[in-house]
Amino acid sequence: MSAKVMRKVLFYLGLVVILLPTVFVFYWMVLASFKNQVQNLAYPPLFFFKPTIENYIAVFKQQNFLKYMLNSLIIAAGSTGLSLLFGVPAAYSISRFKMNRMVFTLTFSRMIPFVSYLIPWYILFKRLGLVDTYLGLTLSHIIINMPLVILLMSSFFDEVPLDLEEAARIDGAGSLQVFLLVSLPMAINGLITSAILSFIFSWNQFLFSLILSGPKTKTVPVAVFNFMSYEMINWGGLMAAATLIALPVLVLTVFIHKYIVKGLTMGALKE
Amino acid sequence: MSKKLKWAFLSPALILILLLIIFPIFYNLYLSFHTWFGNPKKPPIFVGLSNYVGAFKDSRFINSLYVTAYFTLLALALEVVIGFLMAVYINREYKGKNLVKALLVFPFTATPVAIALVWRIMYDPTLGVINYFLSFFGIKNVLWLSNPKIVIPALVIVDVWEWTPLVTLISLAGLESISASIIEAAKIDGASRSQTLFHIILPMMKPTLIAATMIRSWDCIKTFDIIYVMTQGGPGYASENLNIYAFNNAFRYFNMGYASSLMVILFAIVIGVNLILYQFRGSNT
Amino acid sequence: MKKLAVVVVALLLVSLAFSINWKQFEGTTLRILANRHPWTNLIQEKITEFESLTGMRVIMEIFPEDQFRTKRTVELSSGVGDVDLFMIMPGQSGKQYYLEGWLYPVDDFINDPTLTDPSWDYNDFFAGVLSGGNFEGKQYCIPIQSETSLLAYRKDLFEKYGVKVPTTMEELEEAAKKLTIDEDGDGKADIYGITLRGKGAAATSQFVDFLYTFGGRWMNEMGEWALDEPAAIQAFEFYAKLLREYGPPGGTNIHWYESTSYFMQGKAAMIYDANVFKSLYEDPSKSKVAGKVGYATIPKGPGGYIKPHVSQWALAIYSGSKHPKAAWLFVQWATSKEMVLEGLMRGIPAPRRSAWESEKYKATDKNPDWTKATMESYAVGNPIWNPPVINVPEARDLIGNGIIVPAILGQDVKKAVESTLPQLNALLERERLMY
Repeated sequence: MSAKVMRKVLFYLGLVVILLPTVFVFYWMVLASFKNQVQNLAYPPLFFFKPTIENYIAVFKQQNFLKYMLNSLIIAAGSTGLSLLFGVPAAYSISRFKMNRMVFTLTFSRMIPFVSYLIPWYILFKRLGLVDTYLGLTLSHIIINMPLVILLMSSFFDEVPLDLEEAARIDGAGSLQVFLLVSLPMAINGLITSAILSFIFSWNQFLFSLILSGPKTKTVPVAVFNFMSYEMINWGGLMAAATLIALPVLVLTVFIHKYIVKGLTMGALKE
Repeated sequence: MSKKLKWAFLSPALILILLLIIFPIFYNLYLSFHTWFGNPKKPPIFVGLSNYVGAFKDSRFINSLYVTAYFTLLALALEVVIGFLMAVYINREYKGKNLVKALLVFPFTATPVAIALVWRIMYDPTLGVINYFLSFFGIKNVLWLSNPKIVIPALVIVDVWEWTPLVTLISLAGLESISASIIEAAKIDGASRSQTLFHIILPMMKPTLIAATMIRSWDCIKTFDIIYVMTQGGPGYASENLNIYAFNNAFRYFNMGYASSLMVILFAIVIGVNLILYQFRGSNT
Repeated sequence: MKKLAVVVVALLLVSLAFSINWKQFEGTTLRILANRHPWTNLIQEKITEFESLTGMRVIMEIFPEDQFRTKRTVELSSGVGDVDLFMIMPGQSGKQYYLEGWLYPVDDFINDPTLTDPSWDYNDFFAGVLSGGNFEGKQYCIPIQSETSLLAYRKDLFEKYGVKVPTTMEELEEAAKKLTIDEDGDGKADIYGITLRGKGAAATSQFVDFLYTFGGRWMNEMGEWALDEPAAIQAFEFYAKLLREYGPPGGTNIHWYESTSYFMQGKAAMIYDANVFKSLYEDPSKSKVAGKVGYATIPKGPGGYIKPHVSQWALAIYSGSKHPKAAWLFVQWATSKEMVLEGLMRGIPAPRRSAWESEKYKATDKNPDWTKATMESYAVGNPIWNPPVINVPEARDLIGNGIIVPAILGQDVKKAVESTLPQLNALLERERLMY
């Protein structure tokens, strides 16, 4: 074997070692979702066993899971949409006027311990009649998404060459037109990335949803906990639910990971 | 772009965020100077600074500071170092690179609570799969979550597992943006691989790495899900960080005033750390 | 199925023809905050019966314990919550909730013949269990389950190794020692003699039975902590030693989830935990040891007596509820003799005497030793199972994390008590100032 091939083999071996922990944990999660309670606690741990789909049936049947999925979808999409609607123009303004301090200010909301939002928000939202409504939950998720959108989008707008905007202006376009017709299309990658990351963070948000949701708007992460019963942890059901929660996001990820990676780059370089 | 548009574009977002955070901030600040047991019909009693002063006489608070610092420093260091090294390793052209990148996105897109639960079952000293594997190497009964000396490293492993890939991807993006000609030039000058890495690539990566550290520091200092699901701060107080202690005071003990002062301290720490990182980053660029 | 339901409802209606008017609050919507619990599953199944009986609508929100407590706190402390009823462990939060005025007294409802049906029979509840939800002579919480702890053991292993069921603490330790078995001879136990809770606060609710049975107490007559008394020290040391030497490794992170799992996987010969877990041990889809388990009370202490605790889950009406009377109808329906018996048939230990004594239960009882041991414990049990302070969760954390955990780790118990007492005293001091 030539040294070149040898090196290639070693390289791939190294990759496997790096990725093994990542893959194994997910593998174990999915495996557990096909085991019953006795199998899940068996020792030595079972790698080969008679799989059961009971857990998945239970998730869909008992837990009204599709409704929770729909709730999560509406809220995640809603908060992503609002964050973009408000955040993108703000990011553009920050980028064009070099207001770096403002970025720091707008990320404050993510530095506050989330637990300290719970009671004051419940008071506020209850008085406004927003508890157990999609609007209420959507607003609460904005705290998580908006800082992200602003951080990422301002970096992307930095990359749009000013010459292009100048050229458009000379052609007689107004500022708003320049923004909508020149800068925004140029930053489309950033827009998609921000949207996806927002969606992921909103989809996974647990604490705010626990407090502000109700029977009508319960989201998936809150519902997962229904598999922790009083007497025991129903590992199979829990892992089936966890797999189902992660699935939509993972599918999304695999298709659009390129954009995410790009987006993270820009956000990082900007900071 | 005109000055008028500057604020027309900025203010909706700014106002929305302020509307959402202003009440919670004042609510917590107000309560942090009061004693209040969570009964809305009994008004809070003003106690001045005594919640803050009392905190520094409270051994559980001091312990929680230590736990917070230990967890954060260990997790941040490992995530940044491993994340960077992984990025260096992956950063070349080969078949399957996209798949590798996609896999790296997995850990931080999955619900943190679910991840913590998977690790909890894997860490079980008697029935768990990790000790099962270790037993092949003659290592038996590692008490991951129940030995006070091991519990924080054990929790850090989970955090590292979940968030290192994020650092890797950020670093990878940074590495890809370093132009190949600089590295070529170093090679021609006779620099060895490690010299190139440490004297040329690393300094150029500094802003990116600091940025990654900042992003991670927001959540590391406030880590909640992982600890709460796996140990609830135990054994004893061995993994009770400031956020968990504040949560316990608010939601289990109804010591709302004290809890608020702990939250304010926690918030101050996060801002302080970020300001330091900000300065540190600024000094060399 | 549907036909059956109709018949049942019809029968119910007939039997109720001479009783209170169940429809008097027709159209009301009740909101209930519940903990995920076998009892909750039972009620959830039957809730449509209540709705058709009363014409009310019930919104029941169910969360696992930690989330349930967080949610309940937010509802109460925000002052804008609109919950009507919630589940509560009176021995844990009762006193605090009573002092804060969050609970609605139900005596007037019980005594009102238009609101309470005679068949409900208040006196049928165990007096000790009722007393847990009674403050200064008024009843605030109606029990839905009464719980005590039992020693469950593997009959097959006891027989195989010639061990008899322990009746004293020495015998318990001896049995645990004998049944810590290294099957493959690698120097590590494969079956543990006993499994117990060792995780902070959770451990205190099982430890308390050892404390009382050893003759110890949380506080003395003067209201001072009595954890440094010799009996208490002995109890701490004994409990910790059992778990440390004959229990699964990593005792300090064992909650009931872990403890019951070890037992159900056949990894432990004995378990001391809540009697409600019988339904788990005996369910072959969850347990490998179903049908092999025997039950006994806690062994006698040095004083020759046993003193386990009796705890309870209960329902309480929120003082801020806009329809307390309608809520009372729900409490009444959910704690009726029929419902409690139905619960007992599913393994939920009943707070009513009639359920335990009914022919229907006796005829189908597969574990008479469980029933017997439970009855014996109830007869002598102490309904005060937590440190008698107002802020029970904090006291439990301090004792569990500050004394029990170090004890399990093999540290000096006296020192642990000494270093924890100042924190416990500070807690008392704070409460004296505030209440």
